[in-house]
Amino acid sequence: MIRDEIRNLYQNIEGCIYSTGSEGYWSNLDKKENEELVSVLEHMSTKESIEKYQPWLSIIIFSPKRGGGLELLDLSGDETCIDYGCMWGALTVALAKRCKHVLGVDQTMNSLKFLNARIREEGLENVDLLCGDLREIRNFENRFDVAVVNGVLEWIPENGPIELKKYYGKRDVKKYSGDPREQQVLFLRKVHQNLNEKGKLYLSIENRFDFKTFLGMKDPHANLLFTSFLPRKIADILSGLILGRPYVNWLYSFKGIDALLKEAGFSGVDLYMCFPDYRFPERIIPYSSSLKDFRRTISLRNAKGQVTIKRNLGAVAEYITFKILKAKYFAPSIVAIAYK
Amino acid sequence: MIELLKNCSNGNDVSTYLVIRDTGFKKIVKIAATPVGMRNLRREVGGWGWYQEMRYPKKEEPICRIAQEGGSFLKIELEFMEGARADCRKGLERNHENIRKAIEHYCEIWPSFPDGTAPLHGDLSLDNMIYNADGVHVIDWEHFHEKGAPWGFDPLYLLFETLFLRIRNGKRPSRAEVAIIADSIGVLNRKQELQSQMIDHPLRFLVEFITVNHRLWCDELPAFQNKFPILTFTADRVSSIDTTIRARLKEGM
Ligand SMILES: Nc1ncnc2c1ncn2[C@@H]1O[C@H](COP(=O)(O)OP(=O)(O)O)[C@@H](O)[C@H]1O
Ligand SMILES: [Mg+2]
Repeated sequence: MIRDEIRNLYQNIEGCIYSTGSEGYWSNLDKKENEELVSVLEHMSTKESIEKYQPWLSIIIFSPKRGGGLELLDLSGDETCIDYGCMWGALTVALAKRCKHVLGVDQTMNSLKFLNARIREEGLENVDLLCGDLREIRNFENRFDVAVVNGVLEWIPENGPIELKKYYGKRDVKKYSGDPREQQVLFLRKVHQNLNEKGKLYLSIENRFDFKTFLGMKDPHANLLFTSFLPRKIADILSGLILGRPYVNWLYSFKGIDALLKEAGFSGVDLYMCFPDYRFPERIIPYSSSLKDFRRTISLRNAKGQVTIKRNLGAVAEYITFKILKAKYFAPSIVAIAYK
Repeated sequence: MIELLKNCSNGNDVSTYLVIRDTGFKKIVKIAATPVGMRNLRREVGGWGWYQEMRYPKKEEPICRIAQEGGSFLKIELEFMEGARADCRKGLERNHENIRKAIEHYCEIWPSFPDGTAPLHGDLSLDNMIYNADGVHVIDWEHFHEKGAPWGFDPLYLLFETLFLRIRNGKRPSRAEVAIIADSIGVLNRKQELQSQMIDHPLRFLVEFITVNHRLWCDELPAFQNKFPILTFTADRVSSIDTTIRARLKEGM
């Protein structure tokens, strides 16, 4: 059992959290904010603490919409799963509710402390959490039926602690060693090794050629214009000039993701187009299918319920690109189900 | 092959999928992992059970069944209904024939209890109707109640929901639209005598019934107003629409 293995190998921190000793930091919250959020959990529920300190995270953490893609894994309920880069556990919890066991791995201890509290509130007893660097995690040779890599692959080439608000689009002079793609393949190889014969990977990531990036939406990882689809060398130069560091958050096309996964050892890959994005999917459609009955997924209203011009333009562009032109290549996000 | 069709729209906490096997066999799968979503799916199973008995009495296999059930997870499977869908955005006039068929279907299938109530579908809109050679097929039973509202509530809801989409930006209902509503109310009333409020001021009746009984659909009304666009009409608007319909009904009598 994975659970026994974790318990024997690693130090228990609290609840179901274990540590490999190689803690890091990656969060949308600053360290201080994260500390505050977790410190009140003794006398507050996770929902209350989010409402009080970070209400904007409420749907990101708790919305049941987040797990809408997991059904693509054709789950029976008997699976042992691993969620790489689980953070606050939107998908960890969704998996735990319907599978046998889930191991959530993340480098950020305070994210795991929050998730640990949430798991307790939900009454889930089939989750273990491991704090450590995803790239250095030990080999669980053939142990998992399901692996989840949700919005994580593009961050694999990063290093050092990241407080996203201070990092995203901000100058932070940094050097990297190695080629981003190589590191991504290396990581996916581990993911592959850890799956058993019938194992499947759920991978979700933005499309490098998301139609919105051509219309002036900034790169969701660097906050720069056009960097995702420009040739990597040019993106490097742009990022170097503005942010003082090379561009490493590499995204891929549908073909690119397919090639990456095959190179990492996966024998088969099913590709899906995901609208309006993989975080909050409304429609997930096989890449092989036609977009015959495509319906608009960008809502005309923003989070505050107001109809905005930007939203309207987005919705029109979406309609033209997919309903009229059926240009699948430019779908906003990619979901891949990869088979060992 | 699997496709996500809808994901927790209107806060129903239900994800809906279309599954197509290599053989071409299709089915619909719905899942939920919250108490609200699981309650909706249980209602869906109950609704299909009732509808199947009334609509397809000879059919033995259940159209809708529970496929996987856990403490905080529920998955159901539904037979796929082949057929055409109406485009509700086209409004009442261009959907006249679809509306007529739907109302006829209601009259044929829905019984009325001695106290004048009837089983409630709760979201009888053109979106939830499939048309094929065997007639009308109603789907989406997430709001089913065995004994919910007065007989005739569901078709009234259908009429005003369809009307709403055409007149939400302040337009007045056209003569033809008013005629369709009035004639449909006439058809219903001939089948089964409607409560007087449903004839005298049908829209006000709908709005009031939903507001007072919102628990049939959802615990908290505010969260629900998107789901029920007709609740956004002002009282003046409601009353002026009701007046034109009443006038037309009098003409017809
Ligand atoms: N039995 C069915 N046969 C064919 N299509 C269906 C069936 N059930 C659902 N669908 C499709 O899935 C969509 C969403 O399902 P529905 O039951 O209407 O849920 P919702 O409450 O989200 O509207 C429908 O609009 C229809 O396209
Ligand atoms: Mg529906």
